[in-house]
Amino acid sequence: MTDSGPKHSGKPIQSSQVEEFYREHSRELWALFYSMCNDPERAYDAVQEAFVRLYDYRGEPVRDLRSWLLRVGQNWLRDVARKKSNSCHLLPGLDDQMGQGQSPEDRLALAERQTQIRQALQELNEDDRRVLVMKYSMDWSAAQIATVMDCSAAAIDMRLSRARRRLAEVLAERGFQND
Amino acid sequence: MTERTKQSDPQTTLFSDSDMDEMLRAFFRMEMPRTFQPPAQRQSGMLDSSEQTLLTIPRPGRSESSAGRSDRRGWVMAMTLAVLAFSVVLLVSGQPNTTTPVAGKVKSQRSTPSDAGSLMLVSPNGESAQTERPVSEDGLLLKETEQIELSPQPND
Repeated sequence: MTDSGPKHSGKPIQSSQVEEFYREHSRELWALFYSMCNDPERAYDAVQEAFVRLYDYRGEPVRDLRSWLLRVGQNWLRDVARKKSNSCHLLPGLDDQMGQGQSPEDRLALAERQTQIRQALQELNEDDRRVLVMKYSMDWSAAQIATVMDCSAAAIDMRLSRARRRLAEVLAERGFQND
Repeated sequence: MTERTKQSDPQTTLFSDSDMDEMLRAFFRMEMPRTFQPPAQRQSGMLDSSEQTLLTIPRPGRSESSAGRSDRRGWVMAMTLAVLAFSVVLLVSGQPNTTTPVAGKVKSQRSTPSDAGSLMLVSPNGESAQTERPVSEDGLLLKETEQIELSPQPND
């Protein structure tokens, strides 16, 4: 996680290096983008867009690939938000549930539940949301999150606890039932 | 929902940390894409040129026979030649001294008489000023010529 990926100074990066970097860091990038946009599909698109631009990149050598990709994806998310483009929400996860014996009612209830939690997450500030995303989507320790967020592990623990409590409050206010 | 540890308000029941833990893990399991597929590499700028690849999109109709292609090429050539020939015909028919059926009229060259500027005398009683002009060397006017009686002269 702390590895910023293949560095190169003038020497071209091998495509195999990029693919390996994708395998290792795409989930982390997705989590970071998700904490910014709160939209799983858009976050995935941001990851893909960042790597597509890496393939097309012809500028100065990239020294920190992870930061470069993060910046590119973040800029892309800003552009998309500015354009207010409406993406087609496909209710992520529903397709995965198909064929697992769930009835349409169950799938609908699941989708509704996901939407409610997503909306509640939206009400948190970005740092709180990022801590929760890192913790629960990547299963990172406080120390790992601290490296990304540039603070101490103790501060991350405190922030995590506060974010979880705040989210619980928002969900309770919305009448969310955790069945 | 196993336990509810906190109650900040009688109407709202907060979830415990363990509930939140469980719920958030399940939530992000659903949110995160199952597979991350690297995007198709287009044209690499930064990548090593030895590994550069281009996406190729199959063109529709690529499997058609070469005979079909040559037939179509011949037809296009014939059409081109026909258009060229028609253009040449139009160009030639646009010359000024030829007839053209374009407007349903026949163009013809008109001869312009060299003495078009002077009036033609058709009658001595005409109002032309030429009736007062001498027509012979001895000063005989045109109107005077009408008074000359012509009688047949014996042949010498």
